[in-house]
Amino acid sequence: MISLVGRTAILAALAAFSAGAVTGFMAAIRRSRDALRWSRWMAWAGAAAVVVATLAMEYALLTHDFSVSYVAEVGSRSSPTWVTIVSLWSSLNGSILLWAFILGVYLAAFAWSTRHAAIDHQPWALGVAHVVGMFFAFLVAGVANPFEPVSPVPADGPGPNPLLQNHILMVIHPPALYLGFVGMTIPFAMGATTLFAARTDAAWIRSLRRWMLVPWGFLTVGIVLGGWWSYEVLGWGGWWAWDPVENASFLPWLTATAFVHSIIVTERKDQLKGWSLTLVLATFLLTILGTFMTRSGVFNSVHAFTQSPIGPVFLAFLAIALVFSVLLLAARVDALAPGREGLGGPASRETGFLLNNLLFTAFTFTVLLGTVFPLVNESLTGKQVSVGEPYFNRFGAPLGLIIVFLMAIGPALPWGRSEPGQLLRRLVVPAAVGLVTVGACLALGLDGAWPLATFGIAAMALVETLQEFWIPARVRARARGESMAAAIAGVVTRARRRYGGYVVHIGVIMIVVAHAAAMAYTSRATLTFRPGQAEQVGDVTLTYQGARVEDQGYRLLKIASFAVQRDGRPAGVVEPRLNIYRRMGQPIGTPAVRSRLDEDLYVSLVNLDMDDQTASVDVLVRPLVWWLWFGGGVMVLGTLVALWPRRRRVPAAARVPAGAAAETGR
Amino acid sequence: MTRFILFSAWLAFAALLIASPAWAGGPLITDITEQLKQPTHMDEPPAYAPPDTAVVDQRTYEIARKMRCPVCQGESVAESRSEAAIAFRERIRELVAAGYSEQQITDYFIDRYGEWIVLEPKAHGVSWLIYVGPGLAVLVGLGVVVVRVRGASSAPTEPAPRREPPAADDPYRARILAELGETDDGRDA
Amino acid sequence: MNWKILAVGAVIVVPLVAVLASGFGKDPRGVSNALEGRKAPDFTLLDLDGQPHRLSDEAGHPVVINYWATWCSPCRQEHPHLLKAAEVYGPRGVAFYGVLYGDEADKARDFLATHGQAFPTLVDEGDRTAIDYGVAGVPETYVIDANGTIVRKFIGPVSFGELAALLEPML
Repeated sequence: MISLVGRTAILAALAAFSAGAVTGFMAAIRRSRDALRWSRWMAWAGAAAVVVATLAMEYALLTHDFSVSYVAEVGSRSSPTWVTIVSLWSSLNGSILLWAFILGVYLAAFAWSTRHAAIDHQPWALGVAHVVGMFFAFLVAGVANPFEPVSPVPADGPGPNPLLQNHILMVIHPPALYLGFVGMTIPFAMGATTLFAARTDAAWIRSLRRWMLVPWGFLTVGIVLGGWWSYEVLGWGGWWAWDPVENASFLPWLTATAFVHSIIVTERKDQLKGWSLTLVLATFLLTILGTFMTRSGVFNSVHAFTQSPIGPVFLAFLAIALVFSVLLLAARVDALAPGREGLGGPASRETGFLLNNLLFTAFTFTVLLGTVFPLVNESLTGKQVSVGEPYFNRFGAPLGLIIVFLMAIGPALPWGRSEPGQLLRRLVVPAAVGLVTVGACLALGLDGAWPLATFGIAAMALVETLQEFWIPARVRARARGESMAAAIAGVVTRARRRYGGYVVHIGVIMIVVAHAAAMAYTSRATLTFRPGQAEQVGDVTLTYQGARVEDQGYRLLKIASFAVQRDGRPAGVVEPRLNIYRRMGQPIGTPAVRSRLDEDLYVSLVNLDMDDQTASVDVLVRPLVWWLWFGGGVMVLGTLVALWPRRRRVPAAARVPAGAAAETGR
Repeated sequence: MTRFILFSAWLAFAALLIASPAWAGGPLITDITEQLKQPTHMDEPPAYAPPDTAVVDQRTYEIARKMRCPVCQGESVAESRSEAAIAFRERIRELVAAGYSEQQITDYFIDRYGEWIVLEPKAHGVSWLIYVGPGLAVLVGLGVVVVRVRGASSAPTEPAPRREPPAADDPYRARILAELGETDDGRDA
Repeated sequence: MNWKILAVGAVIVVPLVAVLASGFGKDPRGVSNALEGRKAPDFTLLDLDGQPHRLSDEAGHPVVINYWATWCSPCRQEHPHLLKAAEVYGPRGVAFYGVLYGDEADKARDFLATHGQAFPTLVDEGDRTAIDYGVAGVPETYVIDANGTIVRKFIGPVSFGELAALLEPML
């Protein structure tokens, strides 16, 4: 029954998106407002259909309707309700359905928000977005159908992968990542449209930037939460391992980040238009590539025996999208009006942005190269190799550090003319603080060239960024007689995007510092405890108090209990555990994490022998870990500041037309 | 000024690459059958005297980080909680505790499993690609940037279209004042 | 048409798609078999009954070594094939050993009691022997000839037919 509802809804969505694509392109070619209206309605109809399909699946999951293939695959009567709900994205076919769902919602929102946009732009964009929707509806209806009827109906299912039901972050992390990935469809459609129509009027570009910033923010959240999840669940005490799945999410983030910088030059100087649009197209293509990488089975480990039929279909779609993008760019980029204004001199803000884009592009290229290299090597030499963390760190660390350095000098660079003397004067204080930071670290006994260079450059970037708030606010406070707080608020509200960007920078600096410190100054030990035994790691002493077993029905918990002493004073109890899921062979650990502002205590149970009560644990004392997550939060805050809508002073219909807006732009 | 910054950044990058240990690897194991004759399966004597526990922990972790867990998806032996990874870690720990060097231990695993067991291929043959590629990309990109910036600064400069900043003797203060009157898009408020 | 962009695009797109497509035809199980053609590492291990077994004592006979675990379902699938192979080739001079991988002896005893046993299963403390053999996961099966050279490493479940085809010419 549910199978039928779901499948009907998906077929309806497929029909609606197809019709929407046809009417969209018709509207574009014939400049027909009727066709455009139809295309918009089809977006809403298709969105409604995928919402129905998704709700049908959730209903089937919650009612344990094992006649639906996906429920039979991931459902289990013994799972808690929240696990059942999030099972929607615990396996391949469900995650594709979620993808279609989110795409439908984005498409509907896009159709709504651009209903007043110029007829030049919207139809193409709707058409392209509909085509992407068509593809995903086609996947859900065909090779990735989660609604396959199962017969005979099993009495119970295995439940989702235990790793995925082990932490509450699983509720937010995947949807955030999907909201980021899927959301890149809209900028892609808008970018393609800009090329089709060869018009880059200010309002459209501004809207493109905002539609990019939203998924960029979600992608940031998804990546940070993914790191947090892996820290809290996987038990090795790290957050980023450069595996293909992580790289898949990082690649579009890199190009999107490059875009949010290059678009500033585009908006302000009417330059780098073709390049900014290339970044938009590349970002979408990388999300598709990333999805292909995680789902095709091509990048799986040597002992993953399944290959999904979805792989070739996805590759075909990727190939078509790639060819389409390259052809479109080659055919239309020269049609874009040349910039009316040149770039700035050598030491100008423009050059800073160019270098920023160069670094981000090189970073993207490096990560992509390393990720696909095992395939390249195998097809050229027939031998297998792995490319992992050591490789990516080798290139990522210097590139990242140079990017932070650029973050330190970029905001000080003036637009247009270059005045090196002024720039140097401006950088005196930040550079001095950077040097003092390095000196202070040395005095505190910290060593290592990498972390010290990171701290110095990060301090410089932080001071420079804060100056961007402080100096204009001081000028304003003096000029208007306001308090400093009011002046800062005033400065920020006047230029939300710029200051939102600086807030994001502060978040990035936190993450960079925390990452460098945690990687460099961790105390770690692998210990085997007998009851009563005490061991010291860093400034922490652990005393093993014994083990116990708890039965939760669907899983068995083996818990070891340790008393913590820090600098001789008692500091509570940590209880790392192993979870043994009834339906899975190998136990899954839940490490105990004790976070403080200065350091985390991380205790992860490797083995617990219930007979003689011996416990083997990995113990880590890692500095500043908490600042990674906090920095992520600051990045989100900055994104929100940048996105916060400005009060509308002009009625929508009377917005400044294309050329005029740019004219007043100075 | 910019050229100086560009140059030093690139120089630093190049120096890092050159200093990297990937270059150091000589030929892989030459005579494997010789090694396998020995029942310990490590034919050289250990490189060091047995180190103490804290050093063993640290060195084991450093080696395990660079080794791929054979049954996982892209995880290293240090990260994975799988049986295979635990067995690997124990074996590495044993060898470290016996005083074997990182090179010896890595070679031992490559010998048994093939080169894919390490997470960073040695720079030989096709693998040069991934070591040269990023540097090449940066170089080409720098070329493009330099051409664009040169083009921009040598182009005939039109009279500055920008609104003249309020009179002030300090050009920096002038810029602040100009920016204060300005919103995101560079438009006047 | 901007030919420069077209050329750069083609240079990126064509190899990328080709490389990704090349991933498909491959058997993901085809891990490089570093030890094939080389001397099998010697071992001395105790079986489930505490009897010691040394590989070098089998010199002169072909040997089949199967790494397995009770928690691995492909191992279950191949078990009858191994039993049959041991029944047919055991009397003809082929030695068969199972080596337990990442598992407990008690579970293995239970498993063998229900599924049948035709050759000794060895307990490999800390999976040291498995690492010497380059075992990346279970099941893996090594066929060693009478000179003690590894002729073939099977990754994943092995069938009676595959074993027979390899063992028959050796006898």
